[in-house]
Amino acid sequence: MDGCEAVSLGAIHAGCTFFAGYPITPASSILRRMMEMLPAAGGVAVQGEDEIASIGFCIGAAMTGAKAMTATSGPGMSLYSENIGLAIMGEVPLVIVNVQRMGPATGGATTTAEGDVQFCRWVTSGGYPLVVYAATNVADAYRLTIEAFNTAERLRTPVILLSSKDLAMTCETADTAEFVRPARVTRTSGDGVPYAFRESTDVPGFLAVGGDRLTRFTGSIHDGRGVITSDRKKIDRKLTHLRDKIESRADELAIVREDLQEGAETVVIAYGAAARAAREAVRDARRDGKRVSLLVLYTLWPTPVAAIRRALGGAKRVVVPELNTGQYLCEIERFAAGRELVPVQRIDGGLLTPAALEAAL
Amino acid sequence: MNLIDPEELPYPFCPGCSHELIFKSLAAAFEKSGLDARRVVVVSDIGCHGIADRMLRTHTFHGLHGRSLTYAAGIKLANPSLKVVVLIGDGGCGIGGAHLVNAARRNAGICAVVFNNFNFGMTGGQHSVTTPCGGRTATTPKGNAERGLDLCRLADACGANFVARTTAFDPALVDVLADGIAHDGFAFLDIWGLCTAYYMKRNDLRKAELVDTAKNMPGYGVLRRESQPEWAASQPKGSAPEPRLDANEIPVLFRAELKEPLRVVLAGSAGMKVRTAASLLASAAILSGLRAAQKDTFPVTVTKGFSLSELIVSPEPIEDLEIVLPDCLVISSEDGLDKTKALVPLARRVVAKRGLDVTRDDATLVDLPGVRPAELTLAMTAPLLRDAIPAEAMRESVLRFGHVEERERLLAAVGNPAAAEGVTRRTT
Repeated sequence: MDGCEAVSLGAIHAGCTFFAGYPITPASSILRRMMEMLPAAGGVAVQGEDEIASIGFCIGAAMTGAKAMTATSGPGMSLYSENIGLAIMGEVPLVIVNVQRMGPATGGATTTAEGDVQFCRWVTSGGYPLVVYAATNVADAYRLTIEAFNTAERLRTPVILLSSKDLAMTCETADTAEFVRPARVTRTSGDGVPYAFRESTDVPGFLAVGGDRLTRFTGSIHDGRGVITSDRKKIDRKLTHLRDKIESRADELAIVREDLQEGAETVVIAYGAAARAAREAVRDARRDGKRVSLLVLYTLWPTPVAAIRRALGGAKRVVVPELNTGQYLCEIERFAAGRELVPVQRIDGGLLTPAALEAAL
Repeated sequence: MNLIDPEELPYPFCPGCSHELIFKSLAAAFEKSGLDARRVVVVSDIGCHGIADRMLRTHTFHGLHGRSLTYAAGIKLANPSLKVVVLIGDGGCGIGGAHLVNAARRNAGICAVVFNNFNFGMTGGQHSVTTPCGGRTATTPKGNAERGLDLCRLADACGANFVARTTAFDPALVDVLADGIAHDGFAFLDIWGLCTAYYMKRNDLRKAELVDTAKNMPGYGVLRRESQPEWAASQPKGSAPEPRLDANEIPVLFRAELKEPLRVVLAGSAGMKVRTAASLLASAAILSGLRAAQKDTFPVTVTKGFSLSELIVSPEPIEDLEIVLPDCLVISSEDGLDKTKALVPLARRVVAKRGLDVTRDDATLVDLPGVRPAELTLAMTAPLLRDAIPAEAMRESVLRFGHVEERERLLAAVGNPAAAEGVTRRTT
């Protein structure tokens, strides 16, 4: 199984009923598979005239009640940017898969890189958060696709799943019997106005466009009824809500794997393809008698602060392997005062190897 | 149904703005259509018309500039029973030109009503794609040097099933709108109007000139009316059970003796079935209880040039996908050699087709005259993995996963005695 197949199966098992995408290496095979599998299973899958149309179709479909997904790579994410803002403002449940490749611009179409970590956090204007997951292998890609749908449904938000070229296009043995398959979450229907919430952290109940109760969707700043507003209290309330509904759930949204050793002075914090090298390097270091802790992050945003703090514990050195120039290093730095930060980075299109990490452990 | 909520009146538009006339006619057209408001979605674009979105008593959807047709298409695809109407300006038709072209080409079940007043009324009266040549706007103060786009001819050329051009002052506007709304496929209605805030002030354009110009265009009124299948209704729909996670399960039928990961690079040319060879060997490894990972590299021009597969088989889960030092490098063609020259001195073993200029004294050169290029890479690689993967597993892999018509040749390749001998002999 390759990462694209794992994402596609995850989507269908999560209850995805709508997919639209535009061909782009290394994400094209998600489009191909969804067009093959989804209509056969009763859903809709189409290829848009461009990325803007593809995500636009998804947003329209999602607001009728469909569980929608789109998939692309860096250049396509750039084109999604404005519509992701719309999905944040309009509180649209939507899953976006970004199979990263080397950037900027056309970069390297078939060359691996994981340089969209900060881009996906602040992908749109205004500066409001969304949820970003990162897979390390096919099993994660499957599970996290379902988690992404569930989180999108639960919080009425776009959720980004990060993969990268070598994770998506490498065919590897998959122990499917051991795959984690989270239970499906269904969208909570509303019975009042389209954007009503009591507490700032609450998620408005969903009213389907085309449903029995008339509803409004808008990308303009709006009140609970979905009507454009210039009332500063209402504006403040809405925008605070967009932040709070995500950020207040940072712990709940944190998917991590903690493999901590008591008394370890070195901790490795890793995600994505670099986490694979980290797992092997840590295993080898322990065989050599070293004490090393490992924290693998599957949720990148909102930052899993509690897990990072636990992992940092009494460590003196923090090793952060990344396939970029340190996009998560700066986030970890915020919590790592007094500790030595050891970046291990590669940006030439190759993967980090366990050997490259060995010296740092 | 009453499209306009009376409590939201009066209209927010500038005095004399044609948008108000179009909305009044739309309301009458909806009334005439007898539609159930709960089954109607009005998707508005960015532009002055969009301000009236809050007045409408249907489902409303107000998105980004120029993208209204994409949301409408998604809504219709997901729920084809809905009547989807798009309100868009001439500005939206410009920035969203690709969506207009494609909605028309696909015959998407959308009725698009264009509030065409030849400039951007919302942002200060800048020129749009429909500003006529010579038209003065905030950004063409000396007259527009560009040609105005005939939206109807564009929509028609792209295959819109219903195309109409008229003005906000047309006494028949209600009927034209009602016809467009009733149409099943892509209906495109270009409604000309006056922007009293900007365009009228800068240009000598009054109601009479506007109506005359519209009537003298190549095509006025309903330009096209036909009935082809609508996009959403034409989507394939199956009822197959959801695909299973273990649909491609490979059972463990054999036992491998491999203790350490084995990293093999197979390098040949397009058409030599290099990826098939790697895949059959990977499956054989899995049939033997091993893990496998396969990464393929090839040029964009897939039927020409090199074809490279990196194959890792291991008794343990494979984390490291980067082959820095291959245990075996198998080169079956000149293209493959060109691509892997840097690996030749690094690989533990190099096995190459005889005749290739492999710059390594200890390379094994094999000559398999009876073997076709399509099976050559497999024949050369299989013996190298014999210690790791049982021969029966390779045969089983071919029987399970090899193309039916090629099975005999593939079986011969994995069990080719000359290859086995050649590879074992380590000739130089």
